[in-house]
Amino acid sequence: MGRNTEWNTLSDDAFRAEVRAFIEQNCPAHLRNHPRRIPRWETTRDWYKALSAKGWIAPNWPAAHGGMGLGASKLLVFVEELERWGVPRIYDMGLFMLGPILICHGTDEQKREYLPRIRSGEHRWSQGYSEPGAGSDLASLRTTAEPDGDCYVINGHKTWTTFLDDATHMFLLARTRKSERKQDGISLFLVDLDTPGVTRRLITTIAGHAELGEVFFDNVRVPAKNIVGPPHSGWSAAKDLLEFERINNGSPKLGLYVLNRLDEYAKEKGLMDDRAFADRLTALRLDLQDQYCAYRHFCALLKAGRTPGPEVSMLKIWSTETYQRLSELFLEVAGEEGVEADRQDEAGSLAALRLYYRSRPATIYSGSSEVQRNLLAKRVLGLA
Amino acid sequence: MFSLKEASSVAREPEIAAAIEAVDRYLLSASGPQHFRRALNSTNGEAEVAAYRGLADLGLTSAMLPESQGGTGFAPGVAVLIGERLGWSLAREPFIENVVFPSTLLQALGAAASGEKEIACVAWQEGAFATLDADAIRTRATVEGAGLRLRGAKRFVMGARASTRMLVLASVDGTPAIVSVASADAKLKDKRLADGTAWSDVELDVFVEPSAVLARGDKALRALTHALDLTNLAIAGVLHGLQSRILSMTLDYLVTREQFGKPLAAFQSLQHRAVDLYNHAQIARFLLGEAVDALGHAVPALTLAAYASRAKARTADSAARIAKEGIQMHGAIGFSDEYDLGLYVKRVLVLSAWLGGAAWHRRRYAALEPSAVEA
Repeated sequence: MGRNTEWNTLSDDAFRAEVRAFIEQNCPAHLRNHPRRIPRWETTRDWYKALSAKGWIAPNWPAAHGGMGLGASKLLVFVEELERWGVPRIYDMGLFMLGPILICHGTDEQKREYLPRIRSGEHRWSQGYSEPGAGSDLASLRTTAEPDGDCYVINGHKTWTTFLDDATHMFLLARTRKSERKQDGISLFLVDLDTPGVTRRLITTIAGHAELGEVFFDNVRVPAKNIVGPPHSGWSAAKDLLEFERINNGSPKLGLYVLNRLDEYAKEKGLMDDRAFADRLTALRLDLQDQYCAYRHFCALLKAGRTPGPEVSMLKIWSTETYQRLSELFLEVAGEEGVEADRQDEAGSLAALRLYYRSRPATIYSGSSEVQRNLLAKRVLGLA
Repeated sequence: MFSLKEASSVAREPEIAAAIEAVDRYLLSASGPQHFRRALNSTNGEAEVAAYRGLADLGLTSAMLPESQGGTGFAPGVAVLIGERLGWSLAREPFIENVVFPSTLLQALGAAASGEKEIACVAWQEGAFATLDADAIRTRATVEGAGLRLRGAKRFVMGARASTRMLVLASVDGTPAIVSVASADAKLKDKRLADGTAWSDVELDVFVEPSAVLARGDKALRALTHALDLTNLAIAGVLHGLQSRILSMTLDYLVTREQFGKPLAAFQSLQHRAVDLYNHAQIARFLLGEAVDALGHAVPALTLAAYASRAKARTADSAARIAKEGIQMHGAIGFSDEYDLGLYVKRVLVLSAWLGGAAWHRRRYAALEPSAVEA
């Protein structure tokens, strides 16, 4: 039995103990509860490489592609231990987003070329979906890619890109053909950001971190073999990708991290003696606990080889809104201490302000809550 | 879209799927708003007894008993699946109060089933909320002659009217005990409930044999806690069935009803509110599906308690949301008695309150020390 599959045969408890020990030995203390939502690559590189060397960098990928092939219950154990320790967010766009899509829709050559380099951290991916005129209405995107010999020439402007500061690559959507239905004629490209004609500019968030960015493409030549899936039908791959992203955003990890910090803070301040606070915290704890059930349901669908379908939007809404309510409660009970700006850079338990900031974009990215509600209303409930 | 079938693997087991289908077939002709309204005019428990007989014909009254006692031996989670179908069909069949509650209690006590001729119920509460406090039991038994004289009063006894036997929580020699009492010996005072059904206040001044004391002390309390947990899970199943039906009726109404020249379903504010109701129903559904599967085999008492309180808290909360929004989205017709929506809404109110509502169960869950029961 290969080392990549043996974890699934351990009991959950034995696996948990092994994960915990590994994290404590390999994730240095200064990375715990990191003040930045997304620390720079140089900050988290060694931790990334330690996970990679252990074979734990891609817990959700099948073992055949160098992942852990974890089932839903082990995946949750893994996530719980990461969040208990308060590990920093790593450059995970290739791991959670592009990887599953390449495994599903990529050519053998694309899998050979990209998957190992995602696992090693050599390639760090960013996502090129949003544009200045195409946010929630993503299909209105105007970036174009025109065929020229064995290449496509890309022109356009992507924005609100996460991980841009240290990204080496971007998977992006560009229009390869004009068509009546705006979802048609779009292709998904893999682009090396060192290609001539690419320029980037970082954008500072209200949390004070330059973690977003925009990218300009000026006659950027990309090999035709870098299209994922059939040309002009990138929308369906992109939609699959968004469904993966919705499952990923539906992981209880977001809320669990806040709940752990809030539990520590409440204990420290004796807040649990306040019945009103305790009731609110329990209600949120249960919103998160019950989210586990929904998360496991959709993970099981994936595992059975089915796509999650439009229903998965409910998971994204529930997860991100619970995440926000937890962070809002934290900021509320922190009182004056919560708004002292420099405290957000403390690695201690008072994390209220930075968690308030950190949870804001969750209901905006990857399809805003409003877009998710539109999707559910039309495609699941049949309301129109 | 709402059914527990896709959310539970136990529900897909052929034998269980077949049993659920049989329940659905029966309910198609035996339940629903018209039946529900007709039964409200019955005042002496006859309708409940007839409905109980219907359950017996289906084999449901012994469904939860082990095969050694002539039952079907279904896992406890199956009561949740049956409950869901009863809720969906607005059935008033006394499955929870005269089957699940007493039979899980008797089983946990290791006592024999009450027999085919008997209809049992549990009389344990003396005040509101489902708090089980041994020191607060005022129904007491004292030795008189060769037997015991049991005196006291019980409240909120669901299923008392149809019952022939009551399992009474009493204090015997200062320790809590479950005592079996013939219902004919008790004095019932029916209390009409919000949904038109009734439970009873029970006055007790009866003589029983010493053998009527089925269990004492911790054993009695543990058994009652176990039965309460399984009963609350089954109620959660009914609440999910009710909320699914209310939401389904509401979605149909939004699509059909036109105002300002277009269907209500075309208004985005209503679409988004409907989605929120759907999300709450789905969270309840996935939780219940997981609980049903977890109860496919024996679980520790703490795990059962956590599932029970989570399930009751979640469904009481989501059903209340869906019920009130269902009325609002229907407009005036939703507030009228002639329209059926209100029947489902009122059923939600009663079943949410019985044996602890959302806030009560959230506090109970918190007291279980969540760190020990993480999902």
